[in-house]
Amino acid sequence: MLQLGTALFSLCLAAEACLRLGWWRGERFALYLLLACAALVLVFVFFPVSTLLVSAVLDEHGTLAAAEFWRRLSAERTWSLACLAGRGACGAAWNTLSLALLTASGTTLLGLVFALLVTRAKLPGRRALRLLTVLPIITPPFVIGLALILLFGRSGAVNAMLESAFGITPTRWIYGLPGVVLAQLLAYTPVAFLVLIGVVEGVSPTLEEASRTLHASERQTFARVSLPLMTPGIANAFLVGFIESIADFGNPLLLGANFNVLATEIYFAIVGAQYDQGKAAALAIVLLAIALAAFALQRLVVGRGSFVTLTGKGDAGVPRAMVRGARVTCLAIALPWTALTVAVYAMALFGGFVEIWGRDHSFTLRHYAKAFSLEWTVNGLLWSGAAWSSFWNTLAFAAVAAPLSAAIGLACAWLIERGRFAGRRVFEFLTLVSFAVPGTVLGIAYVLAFNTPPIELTGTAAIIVLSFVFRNLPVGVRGGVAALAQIDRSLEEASLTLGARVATGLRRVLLPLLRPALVAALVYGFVRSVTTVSAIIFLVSGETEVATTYIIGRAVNGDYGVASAYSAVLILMMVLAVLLIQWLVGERRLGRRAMVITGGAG
Amino acid sequence: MNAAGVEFRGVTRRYGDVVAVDDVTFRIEAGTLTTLVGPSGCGKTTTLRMLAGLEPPDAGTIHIAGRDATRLGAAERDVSLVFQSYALFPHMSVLENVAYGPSVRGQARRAAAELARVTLEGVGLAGLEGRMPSELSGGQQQRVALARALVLEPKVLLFDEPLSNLDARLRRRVREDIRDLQQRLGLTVAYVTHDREEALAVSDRVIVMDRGRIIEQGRPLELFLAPRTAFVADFLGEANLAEARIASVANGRAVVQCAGLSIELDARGHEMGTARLALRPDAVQLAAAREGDAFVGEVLHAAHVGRFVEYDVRTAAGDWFVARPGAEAQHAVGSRVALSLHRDGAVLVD
Repeated sequence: MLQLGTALFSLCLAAEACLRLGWWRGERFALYLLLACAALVLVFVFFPVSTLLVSAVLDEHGTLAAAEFWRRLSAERTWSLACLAGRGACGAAWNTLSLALLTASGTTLLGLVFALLVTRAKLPGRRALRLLTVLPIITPPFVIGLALILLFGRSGAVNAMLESAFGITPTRWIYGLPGVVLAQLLAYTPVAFLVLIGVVEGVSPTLEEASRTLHASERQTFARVSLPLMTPGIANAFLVGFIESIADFGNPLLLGANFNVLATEIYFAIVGAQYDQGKAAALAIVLLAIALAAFALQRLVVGRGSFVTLTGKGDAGVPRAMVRGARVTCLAIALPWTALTVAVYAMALFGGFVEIWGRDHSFTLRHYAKAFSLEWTVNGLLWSGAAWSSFWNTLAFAAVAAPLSAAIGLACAWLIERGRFAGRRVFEFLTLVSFAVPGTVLGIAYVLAFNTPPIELTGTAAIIVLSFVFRNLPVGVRGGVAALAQIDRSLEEASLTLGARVATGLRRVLLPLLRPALVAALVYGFVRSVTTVSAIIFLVSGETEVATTYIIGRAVNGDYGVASAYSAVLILMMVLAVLLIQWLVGERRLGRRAMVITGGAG
Repeated sequence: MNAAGVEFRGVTRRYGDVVAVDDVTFRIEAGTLTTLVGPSGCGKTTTLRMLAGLEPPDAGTIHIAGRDATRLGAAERDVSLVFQSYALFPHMSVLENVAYGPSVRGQARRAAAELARVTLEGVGLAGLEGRMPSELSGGQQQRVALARALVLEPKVLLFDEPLSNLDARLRRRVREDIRDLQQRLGLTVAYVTHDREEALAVSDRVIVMDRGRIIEQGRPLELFLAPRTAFVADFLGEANLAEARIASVANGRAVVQCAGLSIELDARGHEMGTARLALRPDAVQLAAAREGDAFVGEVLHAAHVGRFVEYDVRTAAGDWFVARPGAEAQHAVGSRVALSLHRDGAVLVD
């Protein structure tokens, strides 16, 4: 507490000194906001990540050990290429990379197919498709893995059917690379779709119409105008898929079997019998390096050139309809995939009502009762179900973390977009860096950084909430920056010239206009907090166990019934929470006609 | 009325290496309308924004009502700005927009709304209080922006290209409304525009800027008829610039020879030798060329623009731009014309 006070005091001292020196002339509010945000980001993002980097080069006595570091970094288990020669398993780094490339390519392709169909093919049931894409976002990713086991596992529904009908002996193909890829494709295609739908819609129809009037065929128009315009977005979708894949922990854990990836290797280095911090840190560095390389590559390929064609000018014209061949191809991909997705979700949601998968398919509420039973005793209501404590923990942590994350994220976004200060780019990078840091890496970093004074948080609820807040910070920042870019600066200036203080303008002008961004940040913050496993699997203790770690614990032990039942309850809870957030924050009111927020006729 | 004068003393504003406003000094008298005019990028809007307190000057001081306001933020100055984009808050109704100023300055909700209602009535928007900005026409939005700025009875009212989003017909009416309002309420107004006609029509004084500097300032007619500089002659009068020779100077009058013609003009301190002559397009007269004409040219283009016919004429002294009253071209493209100069539209410039 004393240290906290000292830190705050020196922060204020620095701020007042800046004001005295004439920097930030009079913008006390913005300055304090910047110092507060910068301090938070430094302590809870920069500090843990750098602690991780440092701990990888130290041996167990805390002395510098370059040779040791090199040995850890270049371990055979990480970099082996044995599988290419057909002699055993490949290293975790190669596995991670190939998995990520497969997943990213697949999700981008599928996402594009769906985006094109939704925007350009007059399909019945487009709304239902949109709904279907929301579902995976509120689903913990490993739930897909769980459902795949129920479908295609040794005693899965499909295998059981095939065996009884055709006498085909079930194989274990789902365990390993194919299963993990399939699970990740199912889990992350919706994310790619959401990125790409904006991209596809962002291609101005007038440009395509211009191409057509210049005698280009539909095919030529798509290949030479539309597709190049979509390139940055496609690269972005690929990157998102890639990052999600290397960060995914639950699916490889459930389905990976002997297919080791870095995320699981890190976990076993810390949790297993070996407890080797240095090894975990070194693996985390490899994972971090891959993530950062992906970002760098994307920047290089796409460049900073923006192909945004939304100019704010009223663009007439309708999107080109798809030609028949393309439409048929897209449908041929999309329909089976949709069917598979529906099957997987059905499995995940209803698996909890079945006695024992593969053996006894009779209806039961036994799993729900085990997890969520309530008893009325002389002392009042007793939450006797096994899952209640982790459920309430999850709810409480996410409910605290989401508003914090959204508030800090939007504040950072405002500083980045509207601020004029030296080091703005550095500040932006720091706020966004945790997006590139895979959850497992951030988890390890938190363990290492907050295990010892000055900030000792291990085993507390605070460390979990903080990891949620700062892991989800980039979502709020990016959403806020994008939203602010749409809102003309003159609105805030008008507020200023009318005599309102900066903070008043923020509250009465900007915040109402930022409502959609605020809702998005709250929803994502909440949902991601509830669904994450990788970041917190190292951080939970017996008392702070959360839903995801509980479910994955049940699933790893083969208790699929409870895991499935709990997943269904979790998904239902998130649907309700999302609706509640939307209802609480409300919509922004801009009159009957929608308009781009330029503050006027424009 | 609490209108106040404004003074800029040696004000400079830089963006990195670019000097947007370079050592600018001027005064705006209380209760007058002064226009800042110049081509885009000349620093006029930056000057206005510094006056509003939206940007700090890097050097120099800004005085409002005789007090140094350089260090005051936008919220602390008694200055209102009508934005080019209007900057109406899209999530607030017309009434809420106008009531915003009084309300953030601590007025009770009811009083603020009443003040807003009265002001809206004053700009002719009674009955539209409940509309959202997106439901108004461009002209109505403009008047809401004006009402929102006026409601605070500011010491100084600023306009940043207020007419640029309006169509041509509306533009003239609104500009007359603004001038009328300014005179009726005795407001101090600084008005930024790039349109010379607008500047000449509404102002008590005009300040012409280019590349961050003030080139000339004065009463509009003065600047139009007798600009000191070639830049202002060109910018405000679209004048032709010709090399000339001053043959003699006597009693403040100079005999100027240009392209074989000779006219007597105010010397304005110029001495014998080469000089530059600015000729407004309406000061050049054209006639069908005849044998023995001293100054002839060939018509390159002729265009009707309503009340004038505009000619491009190629002469020995360069291509000249000539505007003659009337609707129909008197001289066909390719024909040879004799040019003569009218003294009122010719002036010696630096």
